[in-house]
Amino acid sequence: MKKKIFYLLTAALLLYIQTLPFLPFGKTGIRPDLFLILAVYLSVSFSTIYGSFLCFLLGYTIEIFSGTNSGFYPTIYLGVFLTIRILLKYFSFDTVAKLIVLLFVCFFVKFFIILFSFCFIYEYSYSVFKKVFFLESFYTLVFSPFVFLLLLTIEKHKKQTPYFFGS
Amino acid sequence: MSPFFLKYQKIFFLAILLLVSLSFYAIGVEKKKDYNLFDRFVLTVFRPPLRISSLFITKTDQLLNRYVFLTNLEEKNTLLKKQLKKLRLDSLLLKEQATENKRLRKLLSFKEKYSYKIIPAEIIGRDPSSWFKTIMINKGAADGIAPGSGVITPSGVVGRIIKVSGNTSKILLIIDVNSSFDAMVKRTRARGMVEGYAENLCELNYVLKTEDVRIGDIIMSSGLHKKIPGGVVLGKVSNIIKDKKGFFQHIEIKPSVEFSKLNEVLIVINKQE
Repeated sequence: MKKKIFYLLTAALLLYIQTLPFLPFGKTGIRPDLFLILAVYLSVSFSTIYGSFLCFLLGYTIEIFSGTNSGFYPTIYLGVFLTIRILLKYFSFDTVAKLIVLLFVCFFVKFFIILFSFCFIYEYSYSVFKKVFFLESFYTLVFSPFVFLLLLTIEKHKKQTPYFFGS
Repeated sequence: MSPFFLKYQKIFFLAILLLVSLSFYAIGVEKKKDYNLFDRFVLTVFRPPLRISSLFITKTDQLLNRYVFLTNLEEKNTLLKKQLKKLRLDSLLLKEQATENKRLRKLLSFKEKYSYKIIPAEIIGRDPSSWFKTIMINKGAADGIAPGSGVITPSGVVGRIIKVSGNTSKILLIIDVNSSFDAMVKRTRARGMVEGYAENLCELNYVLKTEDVRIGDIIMSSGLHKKIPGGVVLGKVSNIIKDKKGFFQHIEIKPSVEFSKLNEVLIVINKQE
């Protein structure tokens, strides 16, 4: 139960940081996707049913504050979840470095889902799309070690054997 | 429960969630204007910390501007006094013209133009996504705000309200790809639609190539949108491309509002509705 509350609080904190109006990222409007980092972590640390539900919930929550159509973020995070579950059959992700590599792979999944959506629904110019995507990914990558370390440190403190890392 | 279902329950669950997301996405193209119970709960939880941090930053900024950055204060004061004198004179002339306009409209039996109520609001949150441009404010349905209401600042048009809950509202900025506003060129009265284009830019669409539009021209609201008064500045023309195929020219606009420095906005409510 404590573990669930901890993840809930982490998600709340990340969403709060991402929604703050006066972050330096605010000037360009491009900000890191902190929920993607959490989605990656949840995908490797929870069971299929619980993990996929949490990823769906993360996507749904972000949309309450965003101007996107419903379903945009849940689709992305579920796509990420699905990819990670497939990769978990062949690899294990037990260090921060490996989790960052996994996050990098997830950028590609996100790239194709967004590209597909924008081709059919939004009139986003491709040059702007590329710029926004790469800057967002770069910021996310910069933030990711801190978030992963925080999540792993607290996981270790609880002295529990986590489900995750391909075990 | 059948053994087949039990064997593949994880796959079924994941498939259902994916299907729900995609259905939301497909249906959500026609945007909902109300928040559901879960949305309202999340907003109620997040509103206080967002409001506190927003207040903290605004007050710190004010404090710095009031007591620390006081260079050239005397010069600024003299300049502002001069501007005030000029604006007082302008105001007198405009009042006189407004009275005359009202009398003439009455004489010609023209329909009374819209009258508006203005509600000030503070920004408490920005879009967590990099792909869309919305902001959250601390006023909602309880203050009389409804979806569709126009949002402005003294510098120009900010956007319009798209979703409202009890004490918060979401504003779609004019720079968002989903935004469109009826507008016209101030100098020539050429009409078009201002649509969100890229990062901090808009474009004026559906303006014929034959229309005379120049770089630096001011673009303002046409007044056709009942919830926003006509003549409010949207931005300035920053680039024009005429050599594209088709009937229309491609006009880029730099909005007059600096969205990154926005702290407060004004919500326009049409009293006649």
